[in-house]
Amino acid sequence: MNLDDLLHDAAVAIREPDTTFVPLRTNAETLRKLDDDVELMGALERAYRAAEQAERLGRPIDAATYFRVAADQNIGDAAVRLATLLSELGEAEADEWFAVAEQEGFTTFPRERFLQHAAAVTVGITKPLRNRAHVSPAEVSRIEAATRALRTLDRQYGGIACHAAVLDHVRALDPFRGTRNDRLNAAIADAYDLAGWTAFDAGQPAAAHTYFATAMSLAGENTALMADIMSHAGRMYLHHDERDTALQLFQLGQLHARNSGSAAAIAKLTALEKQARGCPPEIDLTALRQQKRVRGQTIVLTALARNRLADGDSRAAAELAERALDVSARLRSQRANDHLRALGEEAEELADRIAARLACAT
Amino acid sequence: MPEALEDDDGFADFFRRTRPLLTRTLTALTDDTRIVEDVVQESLLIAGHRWAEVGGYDKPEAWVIKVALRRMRRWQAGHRETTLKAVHDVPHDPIAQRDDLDELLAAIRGLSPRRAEVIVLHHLLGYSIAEVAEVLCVTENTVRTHLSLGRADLKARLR
Repeated sequence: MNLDDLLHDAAVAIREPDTTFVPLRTNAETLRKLDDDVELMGALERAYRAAEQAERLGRPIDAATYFRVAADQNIGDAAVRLATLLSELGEAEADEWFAVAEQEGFTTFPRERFLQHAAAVTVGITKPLRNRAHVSPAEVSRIEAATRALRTLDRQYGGIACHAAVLDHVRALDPFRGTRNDRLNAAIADAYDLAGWTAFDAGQPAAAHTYFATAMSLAGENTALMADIMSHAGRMYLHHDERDTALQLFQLGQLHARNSGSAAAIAKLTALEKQARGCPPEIDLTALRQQKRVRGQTIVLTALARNRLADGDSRAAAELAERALDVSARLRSQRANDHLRALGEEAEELADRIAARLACAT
Repeated sequence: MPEALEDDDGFADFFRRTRPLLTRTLTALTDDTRIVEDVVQESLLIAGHRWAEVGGYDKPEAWVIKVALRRMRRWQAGHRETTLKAVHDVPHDPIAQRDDLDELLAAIRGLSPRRAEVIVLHHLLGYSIAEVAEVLCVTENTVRTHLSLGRADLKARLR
């Protein structure tokens, strides 16, 4: 018997009448508790509906307030909807609610479908939206310059410091999403890519997924940009030690890099693929000295300090760590903090091992 | 016994129709008979108490099921370790009389709770996607996703 026939028979059986008489047992106290509970359930459901209404009316902050009440009491999928709203608003709180939603058995877009989305845009399954807003070339240049300026700020001060500014920039571009102007489209996709990158650096990976996914959808046939977005998204996974996903994103990025014909992009993705396979990153010290990339310098100096530490050269490690801390004085980056924390933990471990050895020797 | 059962404003009839349906619905979601019995009792009790209002709804049955599902989940959250797997105490159980249907129910109970709920509401109770979304307070897209994943999972379990 196939599944549909079985389900049909069960549906008939479930409604079969029953003539057995079963009295309802009750007392006033039970009834009062039940009444209170049903009242509370009604109030929570009204909060959920009010949130839906506010969302429809374009009032996301009000919607988040109502969804939060419903989500806190596990009403339906309020946690998913709250997390999605918060990540669109660029709130770090989004990640907590994505975690709650997954625990409650809901699948959330960013984690489960991100790779699928990346693959779909690569083979051109999703079509970018179309919009007719007209924008002059000068206006597009200004948008591109604003994104470049924000990217510079990100490198010097970190994602935590400039993520809010990037979100303002992205929101201002919203009316132009889906334009037929390819250059404008690429400019918007690039801004979303930066929003993803700064969200990640600010320690908001779930929000970062949403922005990267949007950037991919908007980048369309701009293969160079698509390669960039895939490499950024992949580096996020690499940082969180999800090497398989990182590798798949780098491989998708490599397809775009090859199509774009950019030797630099191909080389960069090849290096990232190696890194995802477990090879240590190649560090170019001369290039590093010339860079104004504070975060990049911090991370590289930290990596070098960790290498020295692993070799047992704690003096050199300490010097490098100090340089990293000097460079990073004004940096607000979760990613750099993660690297520095790992260095600190390894240094502590080493200190413990030395102390243990000394204890054995005496 | 609540007043609603005595004067016949439709509740007595609703009670007779809904009690077995509710019992079987909850039994498709859990094999802890103690929970099922208590939740069925409570949900119908509150429906009777509020019958003046609930009786006027388009689908009073859906309201009772919503209350029951929410109470059941709360009950389960509080009593995770003490699940009682006992003989079904359903006076007349047409599902238990057929091995294949019993197997189907066991397979549904093996699904994740989200998937089991939509399968039972949509396929066994015949609720539309919109009605299921309303009862569970989720979007219609979520219902569709859980339905298709649930069906695939169910097929695999029955193979």
